[in-house]
Amino acid sequence: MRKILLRTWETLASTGLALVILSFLLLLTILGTLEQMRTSLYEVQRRYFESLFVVHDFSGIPLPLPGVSLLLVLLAINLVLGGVVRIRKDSTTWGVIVCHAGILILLAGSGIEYLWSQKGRLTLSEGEEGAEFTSDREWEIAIAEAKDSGPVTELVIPGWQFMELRDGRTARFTSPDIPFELEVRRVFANCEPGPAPGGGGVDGMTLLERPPGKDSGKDVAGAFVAVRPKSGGGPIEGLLWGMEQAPMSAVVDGRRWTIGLFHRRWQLPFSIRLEDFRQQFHPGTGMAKSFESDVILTRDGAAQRVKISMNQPLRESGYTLYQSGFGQPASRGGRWISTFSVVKNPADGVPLWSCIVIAAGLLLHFSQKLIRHMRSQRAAAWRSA
Amino acid sequence: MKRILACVAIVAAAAGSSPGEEGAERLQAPMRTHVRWSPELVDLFARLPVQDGGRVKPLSTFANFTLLALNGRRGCATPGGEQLTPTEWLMDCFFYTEEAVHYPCFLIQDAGVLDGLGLGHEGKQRRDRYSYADLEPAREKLFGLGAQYEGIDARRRNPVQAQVVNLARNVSQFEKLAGFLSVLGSMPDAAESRAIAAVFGAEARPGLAEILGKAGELKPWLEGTPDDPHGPGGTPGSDPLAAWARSFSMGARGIALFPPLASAPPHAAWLRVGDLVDDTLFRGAALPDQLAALADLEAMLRLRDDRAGFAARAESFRGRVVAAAGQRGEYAKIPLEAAFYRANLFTWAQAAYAIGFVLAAFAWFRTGKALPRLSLGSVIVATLLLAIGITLRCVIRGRPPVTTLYESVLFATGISVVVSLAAEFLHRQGIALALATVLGAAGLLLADRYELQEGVDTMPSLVAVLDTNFWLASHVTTVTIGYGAGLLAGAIGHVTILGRLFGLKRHDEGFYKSLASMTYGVLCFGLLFSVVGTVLGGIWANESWGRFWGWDPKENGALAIVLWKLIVLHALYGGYIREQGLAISSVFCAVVVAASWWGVNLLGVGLHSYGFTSGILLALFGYFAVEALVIVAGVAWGVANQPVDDRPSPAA
Repeated sequence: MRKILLRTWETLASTGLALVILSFLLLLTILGTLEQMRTSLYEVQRRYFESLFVVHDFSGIPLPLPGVSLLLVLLAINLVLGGVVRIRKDSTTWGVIVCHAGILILLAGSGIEYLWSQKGRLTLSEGEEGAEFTSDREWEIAIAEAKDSGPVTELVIPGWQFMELRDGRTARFTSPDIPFELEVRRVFANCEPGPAPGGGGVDGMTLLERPPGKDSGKDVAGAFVAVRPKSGGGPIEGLLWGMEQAPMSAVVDGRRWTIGLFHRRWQLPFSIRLEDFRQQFHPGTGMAKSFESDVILTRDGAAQRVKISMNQPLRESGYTLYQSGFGQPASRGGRWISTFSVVKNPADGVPLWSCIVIAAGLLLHFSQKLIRHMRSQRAAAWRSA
Repeated sequence: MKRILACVAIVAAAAGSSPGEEGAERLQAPMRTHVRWSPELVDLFARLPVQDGGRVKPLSTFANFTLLALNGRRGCATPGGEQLTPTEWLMDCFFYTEEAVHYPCFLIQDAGVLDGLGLGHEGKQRRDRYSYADLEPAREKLFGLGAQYEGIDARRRNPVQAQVVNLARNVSQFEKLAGFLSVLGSMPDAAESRAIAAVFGAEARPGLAEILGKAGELKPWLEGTPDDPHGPGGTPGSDPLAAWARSFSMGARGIALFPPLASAPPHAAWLRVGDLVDDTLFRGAALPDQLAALADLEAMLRLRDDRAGFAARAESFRGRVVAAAGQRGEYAKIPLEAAFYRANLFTWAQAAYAIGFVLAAFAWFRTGKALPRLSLGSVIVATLLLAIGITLRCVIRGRPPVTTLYESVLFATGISVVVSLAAEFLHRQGIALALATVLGAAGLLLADRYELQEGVDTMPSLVAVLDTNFWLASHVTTVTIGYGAGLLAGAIGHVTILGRLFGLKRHDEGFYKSLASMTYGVLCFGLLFSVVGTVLGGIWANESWGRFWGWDPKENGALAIVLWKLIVLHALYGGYIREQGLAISSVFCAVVVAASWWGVNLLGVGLHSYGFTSGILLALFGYFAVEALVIVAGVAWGVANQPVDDRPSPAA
């Protein structure tokens, strides 16, 4: 047993494993890059870079490969065991150890970002105020009781619990606060409503599945659902579609409930009001030189005027707002709209620190090597003289 | 139809010749008949400021890149064989349009384009140059096909379609330039326009500047007044002057030669002749300085064969434009830019690298220190010229050294040469010095070819995301240093592989150890900058787009370089490769650098759209093929000459 453990330790800490991991990372980086010519970046990220395994279509031949997520975990283990713990520790290796530590910090930061960051968008018209941002790709089902007035409590089913339901698999969701179970039957990542062939479907309508678009941020999800009252009685069938103007409505035990499919939403601890949007072109051309938004940030009753522009985001309370888009859509009365990418990333500053540590480690190591080389050359010159 | 033909007649008329028959005859007389422009006049025009592509630049720069796009080279021959500089060519387009239409300044790569247009090409090469007059009969068809092929994704166009699109753009651009001054002789006179007769007198034939100078008096004739909504001429806009002004202001506008008012915002667009018509006649703007400059321009056209008179008005025009541009703070760098291009620093540097290579090559076969020292001197001079050129570009643009692919070639070349010289200082084998000459000459040749092929201003305005000197100076510069080092490592790898293959210093293992040591050092140097540059790129992306890493092709390219350098160094550390393996890996490193630097720009996907390019696929694949041969040769030599200790024993 001890021998097996020792061999496992040796393997996990070995330079050979490091080489294998780095080689696979290079291969997947190349394949994932080329794949972007055929499919959307989001899909490539999901399949190649955020997966444990990937099957690459190599001219019709399926080629199973480890995914980048798996490789990065192995790399972290290899770095800790081989590059920090087992490595010979003397004055010649300090630089290498520091460098490995920097890479580990970078990997840890990436892991934190992947697991705990929030990323979405906030679009405002001039004069409009908002305190909620929505994901581009993640979806959620929100259930609320329809009331004429007063606060409304929403029950939210996060997308990861239902978006992968395929091949006849269903899932049921409920809560003590609601008098029914919501059964989600079929989910489409991209679809649009249309008349059901043969007059079936829900009220003659159905969801028509569409292939994923090149820009997956424009895909609209949909689902077939059924409301099953806990008090008994037949299910109420319904369709949910991400772009529906009004949510599905169902009356259970005399109370009216709304059920809707939305892009995932997050609340900001402050509000943003778009005062003015400006776009500047290079003179005589249609090329944007800059675009910027003047906003009023209000937090705890205190308001402050801030400018957000390309390369100059707004950082507030752990959130960062970036200028990412603009337009003058007719749907908003021809007023300027400004779109901000909103990110909450607990590891926001980690790349910079890891960069400094890695650079320091490499600089130390290579400087030592250079000095040793010059000394040995000088010694050789002395000997030959 | 036949827009330029009409324009030719107009220009001839404005210059004092009678239009019609004579104009047509001059069209058929292709020889350049006028006296060559004096160097002083050419220099005056070269330093004229114009606004193009979002920035103010010397007219010589504008002429240079316009002709490059049309003709594929920085010059143009007249039908009589006279060689013109770009500025001379542009002056001819302005003032002797009827002759310029016969200059063969349109490069057509494949005569199949002409077949498609129904034009003959007897007596021409498959790749040859044609004049506007040659192409004009198929103008309508060319524009029709051009518009049709524009609708096809650029990556899916076949070579002929791509050339048709390009040719249509070039012909359109030429028409804008050659028809630029047509307006100055095309206005209606008093006999045609009651408005002009009423304001200037019954016999008057006023120039455009005079007409625009009396815009206030003419306005009622064009638009009517509150008291007399039909205007003195009856129906508003019925006067031929109104029709002319409207058609002109919507049509040919030429180039932006007139600075706006000093009080205009800093990023206000400069004015074209059409804008002057628009702003004065229809918007009621008072532009006295611009109209005075316009009067000079008109006089230049009138006096084109009276060179003394022409020069006086040209000087006056330049004085007005420069003063107005100076007031706006837009002239200060114009003389420097004109001087920079005139100095041709990179061509001289290329020549000095070539001389350095010849000297280094001779030094290999002769003992003594004179030749190596001369070679070193030559490389130092070349590198200084390159450094001065890069610095001047930084000063002119107010930007760090690398903002475009073109500039990245210059900078990576400089870096690879400087690192080579450092390696030569450490190893003193003469190899790194020779490599410095090769890399310097090859890098500058590549920059030159790329500039020729693209035919666009290499100091362009930057898109919003690149408008940050901090990140351009940190991320872009460090990544480019990584490119330069990767290419140098590859070059040393070539020397090792080819040297062993051809028996260079066969019995001097120290020589190859020294090469391996150099390769290792350069790879380490490159890794440091590649890693730092790549991470800094992620931090910039986080500042601009809100994410550190998005697996975008350009980001992946940078990561691939880092990964390969890490693989090589770890393989060396783990004893998986030795000298020959290091050399082969370094050659592949250069392949990865080329794919990352140039290849990903061909994919046309991702957020780094400002770096997309095309037309280099064949060259890139050719490079990959050559490197594949070198790698195969290196592997073959390695297998054949495996150390005895490493060979499997018969028992195994």
